[in-house]
Amino acid sequence: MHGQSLNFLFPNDVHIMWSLMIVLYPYITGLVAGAFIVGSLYHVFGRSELKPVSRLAMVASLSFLLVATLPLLSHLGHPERALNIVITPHFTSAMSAFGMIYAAYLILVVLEIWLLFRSEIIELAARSTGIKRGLLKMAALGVYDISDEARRADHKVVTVLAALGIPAACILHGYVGFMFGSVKANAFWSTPLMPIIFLFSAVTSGIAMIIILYETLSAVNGRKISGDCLQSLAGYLWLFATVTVTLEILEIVTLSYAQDEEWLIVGPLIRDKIAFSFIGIQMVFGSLIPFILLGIVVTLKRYLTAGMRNVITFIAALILLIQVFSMRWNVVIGGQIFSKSGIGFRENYVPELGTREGVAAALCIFIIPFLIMGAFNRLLPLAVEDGDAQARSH
Amino acid sequence: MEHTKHIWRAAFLLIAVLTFVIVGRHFLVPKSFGEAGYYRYDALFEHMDKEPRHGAPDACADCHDDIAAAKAGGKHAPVKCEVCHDVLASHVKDGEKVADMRINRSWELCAYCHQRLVGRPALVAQVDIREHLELSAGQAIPAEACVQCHDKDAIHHP
Ligand code: HEC
Ligand code: HEC
Ligand code: HEC
Ligand code: HEC
Repeated sequence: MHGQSLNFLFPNDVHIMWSLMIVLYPYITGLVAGAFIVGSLYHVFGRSELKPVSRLAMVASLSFLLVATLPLLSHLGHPERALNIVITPHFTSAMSAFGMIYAAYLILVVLEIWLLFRSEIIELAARSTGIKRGLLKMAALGVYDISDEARRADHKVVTVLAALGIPAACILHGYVGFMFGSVKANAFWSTPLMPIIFLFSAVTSGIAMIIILYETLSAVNGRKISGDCLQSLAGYLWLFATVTVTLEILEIVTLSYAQDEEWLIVGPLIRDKIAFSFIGIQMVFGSLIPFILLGIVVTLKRYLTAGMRNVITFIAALILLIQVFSMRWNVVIGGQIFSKSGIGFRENYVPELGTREGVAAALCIFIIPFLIMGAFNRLLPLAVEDGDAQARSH
Repeated sequence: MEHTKHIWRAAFLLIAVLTFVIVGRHFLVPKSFGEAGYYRYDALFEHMDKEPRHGAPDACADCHDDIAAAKAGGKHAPVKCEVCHDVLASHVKDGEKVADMRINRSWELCAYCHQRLVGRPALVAQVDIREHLELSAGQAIPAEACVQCHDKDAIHHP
């Protein structure tokens, strides 16, 4: 076919190859890392007001982790070859390093969740019958010790695992930014700030997702939302969102102020090509509005009723989830809109609807974690009982 | 230590799983992998056993010397015949014509190289397809648009 023979003839970077799936991939890994950091704030840093979301955060992290690779598989095709990267890993390949970090992180999160839910697993096994009982007993590894000493031991191990998990989560996500940052030919990506921006926006999206999950879960279970917990989450969200947006703006301001040759293409890119998704969604709608909303929640908390605070925080969290998604979009798609030669722009990218890399597939992938969490919640409640938690924590 | 039995079991299970993975990996690594580099060495020989599908740059000239000579003197000289037609193996076997060669008259073929793109170097002649064909808005591009004016002699010797 003629198509194959053309590559040497022309710089063929005419099409946008990294599709919606490559936008979704860092978005989901960001949620993995961000949710884990929220859990660690409680488990490692002793932010006891976050206890109500401590388990939810871990299970959310696991659920997103389980689908984190699906966008890549769908983008690359040939999912049956996915394991080759693990079977014959090349140690100079960032992608195969990701395979190892992913596996280590998965083990860590599964262990941690197992320890967090061990007592419930054992109690549930005692209450159930038949195959379910057998499976639960197996999940308890045949040890039914829920004495205070055993729980203390659990708690110690959980703290160590969570502490180990922080660098693991940061590397897991920082790597994604590293991947973009190391694409040297792209003026929009190749900055060492990239991993850091990705990391901070990951934490932002993680906290925002936990707020939404927590409020939804409380509504579904008919529980009261803990004011301290939500207030604290809103504060953290405000902090991380502010730092993230500051970094994002600084990066562009540096590019623009330096007026190096790349600004000749990045400038028009932002002004003309991604003005709506960058300035409109990412900066104004996605950053300014939540900044004001969360600012109200944090600074004017005395004047707000609990209901108002919950609603405002929920809306701000939802908008920030959109902000982080638009940031991924602007980096991945925006960075590809101009030709690597820097001469001009490529054809536009509009995601298809029904294809392997289309909108429908992306939605399907994104819904799976919520189904996992729902199923988990039916078996082992994600909400933390207050009295019960007392015994668990110290 | 008395109440940490489950933790030891979990640790043991983890070690068992890791051992299983490491041992299992050993069996999954393809034979001859890494013998001469970071790839499956046998793949080389499997490739060498395959029949070549493309011909040498002057493979068509053996039988189509007229066209080949015309092309060699024109601007399409750097473009191999197989780029616009098809691979040699689809047409010739053991020095005999075995099947018709594909003739691609679609405008997409020419557009591949001549459609105006900002990223394309100026040394290749480029046209805005719709402008060049003087199409009015909404009019579709006819399937064999380009060969209507650029006939086969012009194409082989532009
Ligand atoms: C730039 C693309 C291109 C290249 C390169 C090219 N051809 Fe063609 N060729 C065509 C097209 C298009 C037609 C059909 C023209 C028509 O019917 O108007 C064609 C037609 C032909 C025909 C049929 C002529 C006929 O009388 O119907 C032959 C034979 C042929 N090409 C041989 C060759 C050979 C041999 C080479 C290499 C030396 C070659 N072509 C290189 C595009 C190309
Ligand atoms: C072994 C000799 C031989 C070689 C080598 C050869 N051709 Fe042909 N080709 C023929 C013959 C014979 C015909 C039919 C002659 C005719 O009808 O004028 C033909 C016809 C064609 C036609 C017209 C369509 C058809 O199949 O009748 C095209 C196009 C063509 N050849 C292209 C090529 C290209 C491109 C190459 C190189 C990749 C090539 N040929 C190499 C012998 C050859
Ligand atoms: C594989 C890439 C390729 C394809 C396909 C191709 N061309 Fe070309 N064409 C070239 C190159 C390379 C040149 C020489 C550079 C130049 O002068 O533009 C050229 C030159 C030309 C020229 C002369 C331009 C000038 O400078 O006067 C014309 C006319 C032309 N091609 C028409 C066509 C038509 C019609 C087709 C479709 C049948 C076609 N080309 C398909 C690569 C291609
Ligand atoms: C109506 C007749 C006609 C049709 C149809 C046509 N061309 Fe042309 N084309 C011409 C003429 C005449 C020239 C030479 C005029 C010139 O040099 O400005 C030309 C020149 C070109 C050139 C060289 C331009 C340059 O800057 O030197 C290219 C490339 C080309 N045509 C490609 C195409 C392609 C691709 C198509 C199909 C989409 C096509 N043409 C269809 C008549 C036509």
